[in-house]
Amino acid sequence: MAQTIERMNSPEARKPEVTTRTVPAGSSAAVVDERVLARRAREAKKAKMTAVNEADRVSTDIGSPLVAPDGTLRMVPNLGRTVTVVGMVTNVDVNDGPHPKNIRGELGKAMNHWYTKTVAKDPLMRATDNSHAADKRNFLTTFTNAASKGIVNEQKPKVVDPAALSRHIKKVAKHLGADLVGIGAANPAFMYASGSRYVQDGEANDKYQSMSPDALAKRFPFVIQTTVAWDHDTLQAHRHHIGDMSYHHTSMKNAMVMKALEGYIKEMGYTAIRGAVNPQGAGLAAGLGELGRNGMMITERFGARVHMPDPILTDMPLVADGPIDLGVEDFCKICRKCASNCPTNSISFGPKVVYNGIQKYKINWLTCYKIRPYVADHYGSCLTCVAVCPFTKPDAWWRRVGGKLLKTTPIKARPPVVRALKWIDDTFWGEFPSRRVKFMGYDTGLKVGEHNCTDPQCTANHKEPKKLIEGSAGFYAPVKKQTDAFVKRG
Amino acid sequence: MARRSGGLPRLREDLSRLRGAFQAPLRRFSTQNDPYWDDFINRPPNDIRNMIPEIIGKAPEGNVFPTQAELHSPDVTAKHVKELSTYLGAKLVGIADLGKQKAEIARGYPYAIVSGVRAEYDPYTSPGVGGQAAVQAGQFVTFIVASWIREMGFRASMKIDVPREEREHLAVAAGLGKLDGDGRLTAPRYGTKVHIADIIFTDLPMQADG
Repeated sequence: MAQTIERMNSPEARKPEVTTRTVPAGSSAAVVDERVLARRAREAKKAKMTAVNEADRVSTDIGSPLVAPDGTLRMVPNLGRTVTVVGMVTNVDVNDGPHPKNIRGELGKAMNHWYTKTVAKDPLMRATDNSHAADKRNFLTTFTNAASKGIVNEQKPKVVDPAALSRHIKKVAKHLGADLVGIGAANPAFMYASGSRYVQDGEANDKYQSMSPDALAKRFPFVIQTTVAWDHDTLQAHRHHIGDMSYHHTSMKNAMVMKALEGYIKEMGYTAIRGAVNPQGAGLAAGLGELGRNGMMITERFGARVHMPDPILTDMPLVADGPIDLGVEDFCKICRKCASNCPTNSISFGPKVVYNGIQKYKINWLTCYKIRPYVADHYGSCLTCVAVCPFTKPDAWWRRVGGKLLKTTPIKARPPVVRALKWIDDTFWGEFPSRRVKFMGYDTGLKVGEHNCTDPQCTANHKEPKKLIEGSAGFYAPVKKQTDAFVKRG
Repeated sequence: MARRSGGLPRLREDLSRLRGAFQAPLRRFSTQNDPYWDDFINRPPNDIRNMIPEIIGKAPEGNVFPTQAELHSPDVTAKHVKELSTYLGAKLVGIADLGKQKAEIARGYPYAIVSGVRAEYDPYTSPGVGGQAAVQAGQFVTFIVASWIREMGFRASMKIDVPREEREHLAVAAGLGKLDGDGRLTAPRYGTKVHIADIIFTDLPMQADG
C-alpha cells in the first residue's frame, strides 16, 4: 500500500500522460506533422465532405493512418477546427462515464447517496429529474428509454435517392420536434468500446452489440444527430431550479424525438441502433456546431444551449454533412468567459491539450460533478458555462448578424472581430451575468432556501411572511463576484 | 412567464409563416416534392412499438406524492399550470370546471386541464408516424403537467380515454374556441389545425375559465 502511494506521488507519476502511437511494422508514416493538421483544417473549412468521399479516400491522403488497438488501419475523422484527432484513440467504455462511476460508488459516499438515494424537495424537479424522482413513473424518459424495441419493416421504399432521403429525414426530425438535425459520417474514433452501449433504463439487446467499433462503422456508415434547444430566458437563471427546468425538459424532449425518429427509420425498412456513438463526436461530424472551451457543443443558432442526445447509427443511404466553422476556435482562444465564471474552476484558461489522441479543450469533469451534492437543495445542474457563453443568445436578428460577421471574416483577421464582439457582450450582458428571472412562482430574487411567494396577485396564506425584493439582480447560490451584489442588497 | 427576448413571440411566429411565401419557389424543398412525405404522414405503422404515442399511452401512472405542496391562491395556481403547459409546447390551454358538467363527463374530478397543440395533419385521419406527431407533442405536455401535479400531492390523470366529441366539448367549456358547423373545434388563432391533447382530470384547486 505504502509503495503504491509512494509511486503515485513520485514525480514520474505526476507527469501528464504522453500519447504514444503503435504503428505496425511496414507502415511508412508514423508522425502527424503540422502540415497535415493545417491540411485537415482546410478540409474542415470546405464543409462539403460526404461519407462516400471519405470512404473512398486512401488513408495516406490525409496524413498517416491511425491504428486501432487490434492493428487495423483507421480513417481519420474530420471533426472541424476545434477538435483534431492527432494520435491513437482508445475507444472509451461507456461505463467509465461520471454517472456509471458514481452509481458504482467510485466517487465516494456523499456523491453516491446524492445520486441514488436522494429525492428532490421540489415537485417540479421530482417530475423532471431522472435521479431524484420520488416515483420514476412520473418521469417521461423512463418510458421512452425502456420501451421494447420495434422490428425493422421488411418493405423498403421503391425509389432510393440518398439526397432526397437526407432532406426527408431532416424534415421528419423537425416535424417531430427537433430544432437542429445533421447527418455525419460514422467513424470508429468516436464510438464506444465494443460491447458497451449507452442505455439509461432499457437494454440494448440487439445482434450488433458484440460488434467492434470498426465493424459497426463499416456496417452503419451514417450517424444522425438531432437536438432541441433550451429556452434562453429560463436558462438565464443558471444555478437555480428555473435553469434546471430549461435543461431537463429539453433533454426529455430530445429522448422522445430520437426515439420517434429511430422508430420511423425502422418503419422505412432500415436498421437504427442507439447507444453506440459518442454524442458530441456525432454532433461535430454532423456539422451541428463546434466544441467550445466549456466542453459544450456551440451551435450557430442557439450557441451552447443545446443538449446532445444519444445519436442514431443507421444503414439508411444518406448524404453526410461535413463539420462547420463558426469561429468558435478563434473565439474561445480569446474569450475565457466560461472559465472565469465557473464556480468550481473546472474550465481551463490554458490552451488545448491532447487527451486520448484528441486535441481539444478539456474540462475537469470531476470537480464539475462533485459540487452537486453540496448544492442539491438549490439546483441540480449548474449550467453557468452555458448561460454566460457569448454564443448563447436568443435567436434574434442581431445575434445572427454577429455570428455571420465572425463566420465570414477570414481566419487571420478574426481576433480583432472577436475582441469587439466580446466587448459588446461584456458591456450589454455583463461580465458575470446574474439576472432576475421569475417562472411559475419561482423567483431568483429570493434568497436561496427562502420559500416566500413574490406573486403580487397571490392571496394565499403562506406560512412565512411576504418579503418582496426590488431590483433586477438575481440571487444565485454560492460564488464569486455575484455574492457582492447580495451583500449590498441586504 | 419569463420575459421573452428577441421580439414578440406571436408576431415572430406569424412572420415566419409569411416568410415562406417570399422564398424562391424553384430552390425550395418542401413536402410537395418529397417522395417519402405521404408515407410518413399516412402509412399505418408496421410495428406499433415504433410509435411514441403507443409507448406513452401505455405507460402506467405514478403515485401521488404523500405530502401536499404549499399552494398559491387558485387564480395564481391556474396561471402556473398554463405557464408550464405553454412552456412545454401547448398553444392553447384552458381549465374547465367539471362541477358544471354531467357526472359521466366529470368522472369524479372537479377540474379538467384542456390543452391544444398545433396540428398540420389531423391525427384522427393520418395514422402515419408524422400524422401522429401532434399526439406525441400533446402527450409530452400533458404527461409532464400531470406528473408535476401528482408530485405536488394532488390527483391528476391523463390516462382516461375521452372520445373526440367529448374533448372538443370540454375545450369549448375551457374557453379554447367554438364549435363550427361540423362540430369541430375552431380556435381563434389556429382555426381547425389544433389537436386537443389528452385531458388532465385533477383535483388541484384552480380557477376555471369560462
